[in-house]
Amino acid sequence: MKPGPVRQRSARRSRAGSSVQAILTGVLTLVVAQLLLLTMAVEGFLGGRQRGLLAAAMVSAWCCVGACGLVRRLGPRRRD
Amino acid sequence: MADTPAWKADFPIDWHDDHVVTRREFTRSLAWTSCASFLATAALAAGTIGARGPRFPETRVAGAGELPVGGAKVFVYPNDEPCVLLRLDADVFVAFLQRCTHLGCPVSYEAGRQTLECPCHEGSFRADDGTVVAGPPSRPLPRVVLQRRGGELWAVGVRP
Repeated sequence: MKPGPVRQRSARRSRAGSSVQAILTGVLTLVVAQLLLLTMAVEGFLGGRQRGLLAAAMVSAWCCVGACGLVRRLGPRRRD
Repeated sequence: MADTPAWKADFPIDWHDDHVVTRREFTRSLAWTSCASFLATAALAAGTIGARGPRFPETRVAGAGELPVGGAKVFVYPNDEPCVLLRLDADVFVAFLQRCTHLGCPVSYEAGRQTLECPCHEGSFRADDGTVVAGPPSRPLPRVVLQRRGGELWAVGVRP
């Protein structure tokens, strides 16, 4: 038996909500990691320890690409 | 719904709802934060690429025979920064910037304990390598690189 249109809409909204939640969690994790990297980079820069700054920038770039990729997966909001 | 005014029918979003930030909007703003973090980290890294360390002048500090074993001498290097030269043994000379790495008070040499002591917050550094022994400082004292030229000691650089 096919579920009714109301139930289908409810299931679709629930799936969309879960995916937004997952994307939000992923992006937030990446941004927190980037802020930690930035803190370490500033600390190293001010302390005269330049080793690792380039690696921090590269990891931050990967995090940025990942975050933008995740955000691209966010579709427009559907108003059912 | 006959009593709903026409303007409200045309603009059905409440003032309160207009200021609600959805999860999607928040996530998109996080993406901008991510880009800004990357740019800041990249700018720091770019600032160090190709940057050479500062060039230090070569300055005569003292004659090797000027100081007794256990003695100390204050001098300025490289740019009027107070430094302290220590003679730990007959042939062992070390020099450090005199400014405590905690809040910048001048440290003084305690020959009996072989330490450099900060009077402000009781920070203490080893006299042989400048590492922290006690107190609030978290970084060692910057060391002045010395060269012995004949009977004279020359300062040729600073190692953080």
